[in-house]
Amino acid sequence: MHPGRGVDVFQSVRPTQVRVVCFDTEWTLYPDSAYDWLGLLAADLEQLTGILPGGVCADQCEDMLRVALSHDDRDDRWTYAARVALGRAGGRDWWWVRNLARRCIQGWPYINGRLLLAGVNAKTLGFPEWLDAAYMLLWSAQEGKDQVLFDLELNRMPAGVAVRRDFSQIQAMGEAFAAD
Amino acid sequence: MVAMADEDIFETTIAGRIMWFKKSSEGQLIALQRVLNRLRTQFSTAEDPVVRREAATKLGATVLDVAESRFVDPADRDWVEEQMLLGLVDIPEIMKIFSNGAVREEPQPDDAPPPAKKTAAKRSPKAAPAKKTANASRARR
Repeated sequence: MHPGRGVDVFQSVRPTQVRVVCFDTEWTLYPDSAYDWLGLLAADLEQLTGILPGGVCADQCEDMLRVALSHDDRDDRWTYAARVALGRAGGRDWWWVRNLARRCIQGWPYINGRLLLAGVNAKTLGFPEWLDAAYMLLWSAQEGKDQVLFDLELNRMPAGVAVRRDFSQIQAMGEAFAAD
Repeated sequence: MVAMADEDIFETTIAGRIMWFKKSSEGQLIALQRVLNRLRTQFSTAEDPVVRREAATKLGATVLDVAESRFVDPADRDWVEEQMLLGLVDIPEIMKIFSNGAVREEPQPDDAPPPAKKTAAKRSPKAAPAKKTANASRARR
């Protein structure tokens, strides 16, 4: 048997059901369509409270409330876990997903209308696929320099967020610094 | 004891007694709302009266559990518990604790008079010219 057979890369990068660990418990999030995800994101684009605790499956709500009362740092924990969940749901870096979603929510009638005309329905499509379509719509509507600026805008991380780098990246940065 | 900033607490009145409460975070309110919605649905859809009663009891217990963590002064908590046992304070009154100090504006009834507009001072109406009557025109002649 081929060693790679049975391994679905898309399933690991873009799972159909998003799960995230917070307060040492695994939480399952209920949204399954792009429309649900956008609705939860629109509730709070900064702290992402719509996603966590707002997006937790109904049968885990009471457990979530219980832990919310027993931890003083619950808001920070929720935000960090919601970022992880958003990254998993969108299949990209969480800030890229959030930036694109923000852009789409701001121009919802136009963007959703154009996508619906092209047969892309947020209510029936998964979040990553819908984001792909929305990205291509916005990207292809611009030219040359504007496309680069658009990509830069999507990749811009929020202030105060640190990038995790593995050891080889840190080593490469050190070598590059030494070479200068 | 953890020191609290002034903006983290708010004042509200329950059954005539002024009390201080810790503000709830948005996430906490969302978690509470999800649980209450679930219990309300259970209560309204269940046909079995036992299940309905359980849902109603659980709903009240959930509100009280969360409310208990919001009191700044434990003496206020004991007082509210006492008032509840006496039947003088009920759940809707307790829900004020989750308002974070926001006051709900009373809706205006539809037939309320519109707010007075600033208008220029009215001039005194000119006297209308007297109508010519048949007698008057005859007298002129």
